[in-house]
Amino acid sequence: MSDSMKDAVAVEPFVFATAQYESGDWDSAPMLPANVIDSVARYTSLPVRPQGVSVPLSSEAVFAYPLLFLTGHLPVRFTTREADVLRRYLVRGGLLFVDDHNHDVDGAFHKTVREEIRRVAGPLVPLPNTHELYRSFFVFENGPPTTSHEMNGWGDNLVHEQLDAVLRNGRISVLYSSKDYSSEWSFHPDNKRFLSVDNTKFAVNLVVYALTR
Amino acid sequence: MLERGLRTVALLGLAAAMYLASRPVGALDRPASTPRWTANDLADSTAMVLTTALMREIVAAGSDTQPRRVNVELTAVPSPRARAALGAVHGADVSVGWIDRTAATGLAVSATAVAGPSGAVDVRVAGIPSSLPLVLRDAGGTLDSVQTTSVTAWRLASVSPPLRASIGASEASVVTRVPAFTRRVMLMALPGWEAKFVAAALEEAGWHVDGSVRVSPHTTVTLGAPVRLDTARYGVVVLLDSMSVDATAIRRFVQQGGGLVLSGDALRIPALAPISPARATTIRGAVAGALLTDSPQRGLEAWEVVVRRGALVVRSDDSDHGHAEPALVAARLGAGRVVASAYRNSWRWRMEGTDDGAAEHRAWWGNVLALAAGVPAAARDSLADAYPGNAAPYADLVARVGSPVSADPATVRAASALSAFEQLQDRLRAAPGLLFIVIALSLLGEWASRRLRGNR
Repeated sequence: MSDSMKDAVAVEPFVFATAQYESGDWDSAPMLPANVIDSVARYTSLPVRPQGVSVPLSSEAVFAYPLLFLTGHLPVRFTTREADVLRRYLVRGGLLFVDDHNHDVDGAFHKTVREEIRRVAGPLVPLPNTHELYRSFFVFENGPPTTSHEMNGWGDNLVHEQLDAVLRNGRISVLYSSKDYSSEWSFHPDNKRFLSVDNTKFAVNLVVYALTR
Repeated sequence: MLERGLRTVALLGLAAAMYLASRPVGALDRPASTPRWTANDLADSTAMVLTTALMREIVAAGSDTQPRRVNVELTAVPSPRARAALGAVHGADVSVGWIDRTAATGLAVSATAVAGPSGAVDVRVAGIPSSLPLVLRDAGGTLDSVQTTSVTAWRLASVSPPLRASIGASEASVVTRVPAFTRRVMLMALPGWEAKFVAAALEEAGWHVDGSVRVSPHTTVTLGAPVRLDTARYGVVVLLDSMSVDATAIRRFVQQGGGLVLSGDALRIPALAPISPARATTIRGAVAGALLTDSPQRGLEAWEVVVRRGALVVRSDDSDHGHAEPALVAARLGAGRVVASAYRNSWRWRMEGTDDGAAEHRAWWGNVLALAAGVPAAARDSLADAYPGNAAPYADLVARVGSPVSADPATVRAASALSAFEQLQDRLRAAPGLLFIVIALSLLGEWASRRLRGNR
């Protein structure tokens, strides 16, 4: 078998992609990609690239990454180009996961990014806790797992019972979290050994859902 | 004597004027041109082309009236629309003569559903025995090829309309009933973007997708509600990756009438190699930037394949080496079909292509599955496909415009030429004062003759 044939039968690895946007602080959770990648490799047999990528939202390069992660603390205003690319990305079937790093429903990120999502993709609606996202790999009977950052005295100090989403053709197009997974998952993967329960398991559900639905 | 002769001429002229005046205007106002259409005028085989050509001839005749005669040289039997247009012209007081250069002969096909739940079809083909083989094919490919007799018959377990019979340049087709089928597909794939977007495209195209995707040694993600594979529950099985499969069950499924799609790396599954219509050899790289062009498939990686004997190449791509690369190949297996698609990672067509990429990707997969299932991918052209005259096109042409005229030059000239009487009519019509001058000169001559010999 030639080298080209060996390569050919290998399935493309999953690549975790983080969206860069011009306003705000898109890189506020630098350890998160490595941790999510570690969990996907740890629990699944999915081929995954060891390093994630950061992709400008204004670039059509995002079309090569059908799952895109977006986070930040600061107000978000998409440029015309960013809004156009994101709209086309979602129409084609991409999935955008947005997490509020402030976990604050009165925060600037929450208010502005939801408005931007509404403008680009339509209004966010609560995602039922019975959705298949919560059973795509691990089972989360009560919906999205609570984070230790939701009641740490910062932000709105609320436990958010549900995630919000924009659905398209029965599939999640935009998933929005106020639970601050950006803080919860942003640590070195080696430190998972100090946790009694791995708090990144939900990230595996998200990746598996994106790859299969 | 002279005076009697001149008087006779005057009376004849008067009679001719009265005759011409009594004829309907339409019958008289016909140009004398005899336009001749070649096969190129009918190459597109559309009524619009024919009508355009007819109007061109009318304008060329310098009149807004219709030509008297139209002669057509045909190198192929025209399409239903063109035949209908010729028939309409023929019925509108225009004589249509056609010279047969089609090399086609009378050929007729009929298909009759067998009463009962089997869905079988009795097919009969009648034609003139020839040294050329009679080929019977449907939308799924060639069904049979035999030496011709005057009447040949088959009983087919299933047919994907339209059904076509051909002998050399002669072809006849008939639309049969679409077989009952289920729009439910079993998807077998490894987890990845290809599986995700193929499932999405099929669901958007109206297929119900079942499947299971193994994401870890102990965890399988289920799509839909997969059940045991049989033709009562599924129409098609789609395989996207090189993976372990129950080849025996899949082979039995296809032989019993199911469809199988082997796409991309699934062409490399050893257990299914014996039933695959193509053998994958090496990877053909994607052409950079081609996803954004009019040929987005060239922007996808694809397997170069060797087509197996008896398989039909449904689609080919132009390669940089100057030859066509098979991209979609189909073959029959028992009562079912196996379709091989060479493209890998077709999801890039949808995500990284143009804004039409998603619709094109959906249409592609819809067509591939329709091919495997043996059903029409889209609504047919009711006139072009279902027109009854297609069962015997040559006979239909003769019925509409009459038998062909001989290609012998003398006969053609005779057929093209107007009769002497018609030519005289045309000349008189072209010069309406000629009759008056003839009558006047005749009467004047008679009067002068009488005066010269002293009579009043």
